[in-house]
Amino acid sequence: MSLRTDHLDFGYEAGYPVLRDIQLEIKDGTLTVLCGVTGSGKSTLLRLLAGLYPPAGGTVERGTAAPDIPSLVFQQPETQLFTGSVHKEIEYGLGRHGVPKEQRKDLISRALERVGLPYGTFAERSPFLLSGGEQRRLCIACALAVSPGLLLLDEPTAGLDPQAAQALLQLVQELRSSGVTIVVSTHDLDSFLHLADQVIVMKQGAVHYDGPAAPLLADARILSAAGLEPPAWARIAQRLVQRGRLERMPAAVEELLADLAGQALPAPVAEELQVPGAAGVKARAADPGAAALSPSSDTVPEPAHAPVPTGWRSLDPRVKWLGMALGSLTLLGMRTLLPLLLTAALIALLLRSAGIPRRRVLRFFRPFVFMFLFIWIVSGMDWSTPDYAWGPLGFSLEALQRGGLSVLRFLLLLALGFLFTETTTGAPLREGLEWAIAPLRRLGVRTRNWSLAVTVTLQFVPWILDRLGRLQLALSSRGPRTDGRGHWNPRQITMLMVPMLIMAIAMGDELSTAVESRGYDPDKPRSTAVQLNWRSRDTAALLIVVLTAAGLWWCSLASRGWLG
Amino acid sequence: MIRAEQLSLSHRDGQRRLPVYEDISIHMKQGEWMALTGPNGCGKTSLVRTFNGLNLPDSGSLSVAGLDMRSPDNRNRVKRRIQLVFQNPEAQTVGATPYEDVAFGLENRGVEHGEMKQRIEAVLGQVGLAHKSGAAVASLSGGERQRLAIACCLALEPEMIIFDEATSMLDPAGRNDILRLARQLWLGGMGVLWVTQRMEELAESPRIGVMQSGRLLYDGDPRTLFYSSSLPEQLGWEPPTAVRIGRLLQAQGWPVHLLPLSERDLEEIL
Repeated sequence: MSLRTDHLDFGYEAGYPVLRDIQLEIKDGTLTVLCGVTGSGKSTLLRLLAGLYPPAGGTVERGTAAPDIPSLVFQQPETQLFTGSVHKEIEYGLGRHGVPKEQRKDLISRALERVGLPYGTFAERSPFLLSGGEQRRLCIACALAVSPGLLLLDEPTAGLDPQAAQALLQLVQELRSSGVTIVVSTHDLDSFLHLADQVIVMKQGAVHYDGPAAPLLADARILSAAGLEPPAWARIAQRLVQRGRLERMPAAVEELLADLAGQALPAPVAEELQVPGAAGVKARAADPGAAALSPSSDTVPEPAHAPVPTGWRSLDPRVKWLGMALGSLTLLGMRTLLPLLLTAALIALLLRSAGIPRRRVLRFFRPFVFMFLFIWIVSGMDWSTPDYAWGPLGFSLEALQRGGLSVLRFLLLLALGFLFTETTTGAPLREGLEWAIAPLRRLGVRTRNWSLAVTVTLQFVPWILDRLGRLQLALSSRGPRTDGRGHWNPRQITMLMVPMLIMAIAMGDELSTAVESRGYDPDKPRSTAVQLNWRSRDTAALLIVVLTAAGLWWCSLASRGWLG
Repeated sequence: MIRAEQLSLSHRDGQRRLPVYEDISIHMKQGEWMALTGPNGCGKTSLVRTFNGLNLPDSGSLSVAGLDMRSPDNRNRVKRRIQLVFQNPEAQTVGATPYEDVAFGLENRGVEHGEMKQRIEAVLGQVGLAHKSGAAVASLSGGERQRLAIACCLALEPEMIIFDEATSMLDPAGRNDILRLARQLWLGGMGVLWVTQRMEELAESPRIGVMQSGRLLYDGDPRTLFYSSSLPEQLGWEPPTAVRIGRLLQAQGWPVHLLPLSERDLEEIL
């Protein structure tokens, strides 16, 4: 399938363009290599070409080849395998594309055959237990099974050992000669550049070069302007051409070797030449050219810009703890609307003054709002003496009121917790937490371990959200979701949870090994890098917190009529 | 530094015992650079984790930095002398900022507050992260995270750092950056065990260990490995271009000690 993009623009957030004005044409049956430094927009471009994201501007036109399906294979196999067996893994995509059941087995075994995983041996095995190279092949088989006109591969050799990478390279070449149009995004120019019919070099979200590989190999400046290096063999060949040892630039490493093999290269007289590398790597690295090594020497360090928390965010975590605890107690005692509304207003004010982005707040509360709305409606139902009846459903005014207040109370409790964790992170959170649970130490509880566990867990919330995003993208790339509204059905949600759990467990395992590897000294008590420092403004803040809580408490009692 | 004699480790899988590594003997001197290679699943990770006391071998004897690793206390003590940088940049940070992350290992050892601050600032400067000391860890690139992991090791003042495929998940720029930093540390006297699957990195290491299915097949210099043994062919390796050209020269009668191992060698002789 051929492909054309016209003035393609894209950004994940308004105001931050990731791709700008991409004009491309990819011909049917060719192998295109897409390269660029990390963050140059390669993966995003692949996702747009696959139709997973709608462009912000411009168009992607796909040719008229019969099955018009682009298939994208993502970088990490662990974020795109979902089911209990290799057979089911491929069958899922076929089902999504409406392939009738009786044709599926045939298509599955053919797809597995093409990637070199025989159906008999692999069909019943678990995708999660295959080797890295086999997983990669399975992902490609999933993509091939729906006979795509266009196969998009994101970093297909990353993380493979050399043998598995070689085999994968072989597979890509075979697919290319069987007529599949392929786009490969890669850092591994050594392996892929000489195979490419077309090379696209990306730089800061725009196309820096688009054309055949030969000019890139002959002139290193094009690649180096985009922050890349030509393959090792091409660098050597360039130097040989410059010195007149080669007449022309070879197109691949084999050609270079063949050209050199044709030349007579007499061995030098032993004394004439310094033994290469005789002084060892030490001498080489001591050479100033190779040893302009300090990582900070090539990038000018930005001035220290640790985000210093301002306003009430910088208060001692203990004040925030006490504020949260007092606030929660007061909230639990509220039985009427007025104090709850006052508290809501106060929390809204705090959320604003803490400078938490509105998007973040919305993202946190959205799932709760729906859930709580549902609970509220259910809690208001009454069949015996309904005030309002709507078909078979009856609602009691009093129950609605009571339910509404409880729901609001819990929502506000959540908001307090959100405020706390958003304004206190890392070491201060840990120290604050440890201070709060310190009395438990007398009961033999290892408070340090608990506070460490909580802070590390909180730190992994963004990681989990990121992986969940990748899994969802990978699942939707296998075929359309059930309904047009973009919701997952319960079966798909289970499919997403299995790899998520596996990844989380693997991550926990790696992390605990890393923590263990740092070691500890059993003879000395732990020390702390961040020492909590109670200042007079913290006392003042605590006073304000207590007064506010007392005020709300009074309001809550008064509006219940106890003081009237 | 490391004296390993006939180390073996196996995992139990139901009734069977699956060997992880078998009969490994390695001696490493202080301040040495050694590269260790082998396909995924050959046991290299388990082996190097044994060296800093994370794994306990089933049999054989192992003494690291003069500590007999049979004793649990020594397995803990050795972590002060040998530190590990892991493969996954995302799975080895404990703190929310580089400063807190480096602090973790020092807190565990009860280092006093003032000294801790000094040491953290020194090692962050050494790896070029001083300007990001208070930045959120999530905002660091993969290469920066690995530099942070190195800083965490350095803060404990080890005599040797093991890099367990520490660059395999990085892009080429990050990869070169970490390799250069490791070389710099080595020049400063640090011992380095560099686990890698990249042929160029092997060819430029003064000493190479090759593992396959849990056994150490080769332990020696790169010239012998690439020019006087059949191991690269046996293992299906594609040697680096400089070596492939070197083999052409070898066929034309060049003596082995003049053959190139790196692009730089090649440049010198051609």
